[in-house]
Amino acid sequence: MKKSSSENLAGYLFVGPSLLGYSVFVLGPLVAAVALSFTHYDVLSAPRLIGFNNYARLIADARLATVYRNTIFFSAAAIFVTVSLGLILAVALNQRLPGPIKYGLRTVYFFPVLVGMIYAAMVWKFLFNRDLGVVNYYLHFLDVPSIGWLTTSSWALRSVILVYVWKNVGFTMLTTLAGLQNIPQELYEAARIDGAKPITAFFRLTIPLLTPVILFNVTITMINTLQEFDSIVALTNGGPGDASRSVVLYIYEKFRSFDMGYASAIAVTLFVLISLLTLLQFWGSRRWVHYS
Amino acid sequence: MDYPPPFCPPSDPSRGLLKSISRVLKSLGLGLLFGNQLLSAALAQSPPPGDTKGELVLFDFGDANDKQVRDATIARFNKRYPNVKVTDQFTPITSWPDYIDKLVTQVASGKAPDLIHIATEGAQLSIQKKLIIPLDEFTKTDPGNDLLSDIDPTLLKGFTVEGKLYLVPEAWNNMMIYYNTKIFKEAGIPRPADDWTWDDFLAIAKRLTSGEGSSKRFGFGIPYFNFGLTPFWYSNGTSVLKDDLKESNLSDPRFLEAVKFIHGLVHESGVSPDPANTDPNAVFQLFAAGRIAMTGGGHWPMQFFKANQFNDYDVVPWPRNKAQKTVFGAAGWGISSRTKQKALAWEMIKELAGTESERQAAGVGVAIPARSSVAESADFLAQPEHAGLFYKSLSYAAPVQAPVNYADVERILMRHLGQVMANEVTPEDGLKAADQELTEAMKNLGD
Repeated sequence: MKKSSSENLAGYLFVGPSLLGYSVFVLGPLVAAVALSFTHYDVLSAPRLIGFNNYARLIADARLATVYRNTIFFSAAAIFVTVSLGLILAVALNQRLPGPIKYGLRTVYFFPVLVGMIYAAMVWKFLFNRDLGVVNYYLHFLDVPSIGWLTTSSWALRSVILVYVWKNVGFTMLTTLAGLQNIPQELYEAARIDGAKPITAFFRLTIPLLTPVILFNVTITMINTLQEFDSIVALTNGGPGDASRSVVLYIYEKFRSFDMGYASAIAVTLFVLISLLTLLQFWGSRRWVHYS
Repeated sequence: MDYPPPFCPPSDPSRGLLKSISRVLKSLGLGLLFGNQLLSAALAQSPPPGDTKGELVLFDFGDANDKQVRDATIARFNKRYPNVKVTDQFTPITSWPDYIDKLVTQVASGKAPDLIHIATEGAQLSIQKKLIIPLDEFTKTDPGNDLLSDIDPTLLKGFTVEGKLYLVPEAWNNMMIYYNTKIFKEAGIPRPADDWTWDDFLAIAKRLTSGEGSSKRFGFGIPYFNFGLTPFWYSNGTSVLKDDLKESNLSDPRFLEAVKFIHGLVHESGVSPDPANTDPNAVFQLFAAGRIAMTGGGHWPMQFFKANQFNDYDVVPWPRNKAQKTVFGAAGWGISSRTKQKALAWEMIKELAGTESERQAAGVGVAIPARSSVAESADFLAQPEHAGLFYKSLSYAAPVQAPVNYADVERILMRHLGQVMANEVTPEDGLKAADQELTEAMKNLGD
């Protein structure tokens, strides 16, 4: 009994620091945001309780509907392309290739992950510039008229997604590659002996055994993209108009207008959305994720 | 919007005592006996003694050059006050709204600085939120004060509210047209006249636009940010807000005309590249690279030109349409309403906005010195050829409109203008939507 108590104490001591950090830096601000969402607060005056007024504003805010639509489109497209392209690249790089080519390509694909988004975005802005950019320069040779990659509503959000995928596909490739290398080779040999063709083995063996990695990638990408901020700020600043503005960018705008109560109310809705989607994913994963 | 209760700035004990003596003298009728001059002399601001101990925190902005100037200023101050620790909270500036946000957040967190360096864009907010105090008690009573006599009244007026001066101007910037002298010479185009018009400007921009693909050169790079676009409004006799800064003015037909003119530079005459996605400073890179023959800017791009050994440029006033008018924004030093060391803070301001600091700043060319004597110095006038036009522009410049909700006004305008410049809405529809949103935002300001 005594031993058990001292073990418990040691456990609490180990968990203590991170629990403290979590309480101060995550739980505290979360509770504060919920509390502030029921107030009018402009930073320099004391918060004033206004009940559900901020939540009533949400319903009437046409811009909020636009930024939510953008965010969900951004997230869905980024998840689909990043995860599927990461899978394709991982499978390609898991083939028997000469060492220098294999490791060289892995480095090339992973390198953008290491580059800060702001630096990368500055380069992409020059590439995407309508009149002086490299992309349109080469497209002119194909008789394609100048495209406002970052300055037209039809392209701005897609261009940001493209940059996001370029930046992050290396990460999903790496995790998928690790997953691929954890699949025992004997399973493939057994499948081959049973007469399975490579394509059958891929869909019946590789994909099911990669589902935990896919779930991980989908969840991480979803949480990141629903909170995407830096790439949008650096590339389009949400424009033109609100065409590429995300919910987090909109929250930031409201914070900067010192409309803290309303900004907190929007942040609470985003928190609820991300929590629900994550729970939904884990609940649904029982049907399609195979851990063995 | 609710305003906070006024901060109660702690009183200066020595001045409190003098005021009490004054009151006693007055109550005894001795004020008349000794005369007002004697009372004023007794109340005159005398600098704190050199052995004063204390700490001053500056809330400050700028670039690496400004930091150097500030370090030297603090070193000079510390020669006079060796026991005063000066901490310069230096912020490399990205945009005024960002800087103002940081200031407000810091004050709200209870760590208000002693001195605040702020520009026109944040002055109204600082004054209305009572972040800074009027300086008249110092400027009018300090016998050694010569700060204001050398500064153009237009700059002082910009920081004066209801007759009280809140900030001592230290530097300022305006908008001029920069042109590439080499390209002009090659094209056989003479220097534009100082009173040139929009039509002259467009005709020259068209002549300077040439080439295709990688050899394409544009006549004019639009300075695509709020301050940079303002001379287009001003030179057409209009502005974003009405003069009282309380109502939208975007329904003014002259504003529409100005927006159509800018829109036409990209989409009709094609003399300007699409500006909507270009970094505000990218136009200066393209200008120095010869890809753009003219652009608009204040004094700030000159440091970039100097660093890149680009010298083929000169400046000319902004072209006029309905008015000869450009914009200016000044930066000044104020005393925080929460400081406990007002007298010491004032001594620091005298150093920060003094001749020596401005002379040093003029040498590195970041902004235009507020003191006319420094702006007329050889250091400042060394480059470009018509550098003297910078200070002279004060005679026809107006301050950038900066209400308390400056950040919102800028955001609303630039967001709708972005759609216009992307050719997604007509200038008429874009301005109509912007006017509605701005009207609402200004209405909320009065709540």
